[in-house]
Amino acid sequence: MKSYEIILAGNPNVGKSTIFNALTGLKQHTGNWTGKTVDLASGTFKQDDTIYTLKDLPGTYSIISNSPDEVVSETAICKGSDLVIVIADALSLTRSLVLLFQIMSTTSNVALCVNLIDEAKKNGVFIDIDLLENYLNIPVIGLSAKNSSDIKRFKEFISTVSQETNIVKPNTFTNPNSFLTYAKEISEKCTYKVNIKNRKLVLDKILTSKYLGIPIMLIFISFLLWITISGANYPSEALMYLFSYLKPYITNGLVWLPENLVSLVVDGVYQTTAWVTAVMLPPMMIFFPLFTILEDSGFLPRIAFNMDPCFKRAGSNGKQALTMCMGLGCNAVGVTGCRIISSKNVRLASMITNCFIPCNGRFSMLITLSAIFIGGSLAKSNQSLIAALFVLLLIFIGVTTTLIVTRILTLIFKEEKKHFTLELPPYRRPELIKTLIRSLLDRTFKILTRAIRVSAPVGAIIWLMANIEINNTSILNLSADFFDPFGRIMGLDGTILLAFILALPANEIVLPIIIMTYISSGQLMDNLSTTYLSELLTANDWSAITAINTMLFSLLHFPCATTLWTIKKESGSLLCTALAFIIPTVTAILVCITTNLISNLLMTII
Amino acid sequence: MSYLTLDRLPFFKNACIYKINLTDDNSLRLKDLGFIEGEPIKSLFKSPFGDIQAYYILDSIIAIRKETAKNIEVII
Repeated sequence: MKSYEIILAGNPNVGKSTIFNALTGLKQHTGNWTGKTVDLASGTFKQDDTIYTLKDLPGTYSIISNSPDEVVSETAICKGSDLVIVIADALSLTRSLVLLFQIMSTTSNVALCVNLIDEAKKNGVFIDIDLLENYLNIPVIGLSAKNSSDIKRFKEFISTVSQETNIVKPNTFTNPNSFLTYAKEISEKCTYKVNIKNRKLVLDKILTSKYLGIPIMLIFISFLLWITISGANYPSEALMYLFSYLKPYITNGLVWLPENLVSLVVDGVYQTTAWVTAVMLPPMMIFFPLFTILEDSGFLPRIAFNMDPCFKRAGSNGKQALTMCMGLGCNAVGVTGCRIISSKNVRLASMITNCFIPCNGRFSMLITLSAIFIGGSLAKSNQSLIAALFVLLLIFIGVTTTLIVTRILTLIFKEEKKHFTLELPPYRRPELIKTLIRSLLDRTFKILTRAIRVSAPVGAIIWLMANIEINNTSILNLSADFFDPFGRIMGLDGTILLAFILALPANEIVLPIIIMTYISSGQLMDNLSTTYLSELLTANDWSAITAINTMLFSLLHFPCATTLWTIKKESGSLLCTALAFIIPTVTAILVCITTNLISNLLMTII
Repeated sequence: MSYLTLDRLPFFKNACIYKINLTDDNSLRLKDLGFIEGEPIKSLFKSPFGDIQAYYILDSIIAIRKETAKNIEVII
């Protein structure tokens, strides 16, 4: 069977990944902002007994590299393949042609695909594909990636073009300025503009306006969090009920095993995993699709635009805000996203500070604790709204800490002067159903399997620690006692501190560990409602201050093992990874000691 | 006809880039985005905190900071 290797290249935001997904059926996430694909994604499709391997490159304006995501593009193109297809945006053909010429000057066998033809037509722009083909002397196809018959046509196009060899000879002109002149000339000749409309600026005017811009952004994010908190409550309890209903059946199924082993499996592994799933799954199923819709609509780059002046004062730039938004879902994803930042020092600072933004794994605990101790005991009405506002306040503290630490880091790292540029892509209506399915498959499923993989062995470890006794005290309690004095200084206790340390593999399991230690039988109770949890924590001397300190520690403490590993991989520096561990840890300890001192002081005065 | 720097260009006024006073390697990215002599440009909107501003250039919206825009001269 014959096989061909094909590279998809193009400017950011021309719908490359959409085409890639449609061709290969591989579920890869696409977003309406620069730098969504930060690494090479590859997939295959079959057509007429031939296998085509597709490589989706990160979007780039130039193959003369500027930031790490462009280096990926450059190396891939220079390495050579059977065919490079440049994807162009029908609405900004000139820009795409410049990239096409750059690629044509380094490699032969190039074809052009003009995407978003439909969207262009709506805007009164028509591209003459045949004429374009004539001028360029390479195969050209015009299509709209959302249209399935167009994708079929594109597959046929690829199979025809791959058969040909040496479509173009390497170009002779090398001056980048002449590329642009030539690109403009050709795009003008091939583009017909009927009834020229300016791109709609109404939304931008509102979203970036002086008085409304920031409030609208905050309202959007708090609304997102509020929906997540209030919507996740009921399904969480239903899942919990389902899991405890299943428990006796599992125990019965395992009767042939020794009693201790059954307890290890059911009370340790099963119960912890069930708990993590019940707590994590519902908020993720609500948060990720909603966040993906924000991403796809083109709203996130506007956040970067609005926030840039703040980040500039911290020696960074607005793109850090984008990586922080990604961190809301998962810090490891946020760290990988830092590739879109072209300045090396800002990139390192963004990686180190990304964990100050609470990821989904920590959200569940922040939400639960703030619902119990802030919404439940302090507020009389609108409990979930107050809880959401408190979580928002925590995020605000996280953002402030990020800015302060970034300022310090960029001062130490000595920032080289770079001209910051930010692309604001046109708004697009997100495809709701596709978004829902994709974010479920890509993110929810992926992160959930990771959480389960981690929580199962940790559940076993904790069960063992709780059941192996030295002098009639379990190892779990012994360790908790050991950490107790340290915890007390920070307004926590030994158990909480121990839980954070044991939960290094995944932040999701901090609360389960705390509960297991308190119950101290090494197993979770069957019915873990919020009311029960509230009683259990209060019985173990938790006050609102304990809860606030626990939340602050969770917000500011060291990143999880996956994030650390990602930082090591992305920065290639052990020092940077060490800093990413030490700086948050020190920050968390200092902040907790301070709040504890302040609250103690207030207590004595009152 | 008058000359001014890009950061002082009034909103929605059609202008044309006349000169770019940047010699360092960092201006390469600006060139990729279309900031070169002779290119039409229009100022669109500003960030709520000022400093960074969005421009319409080569059929796209690109935002650059004031410190960068100061080095770009335009004709209106």
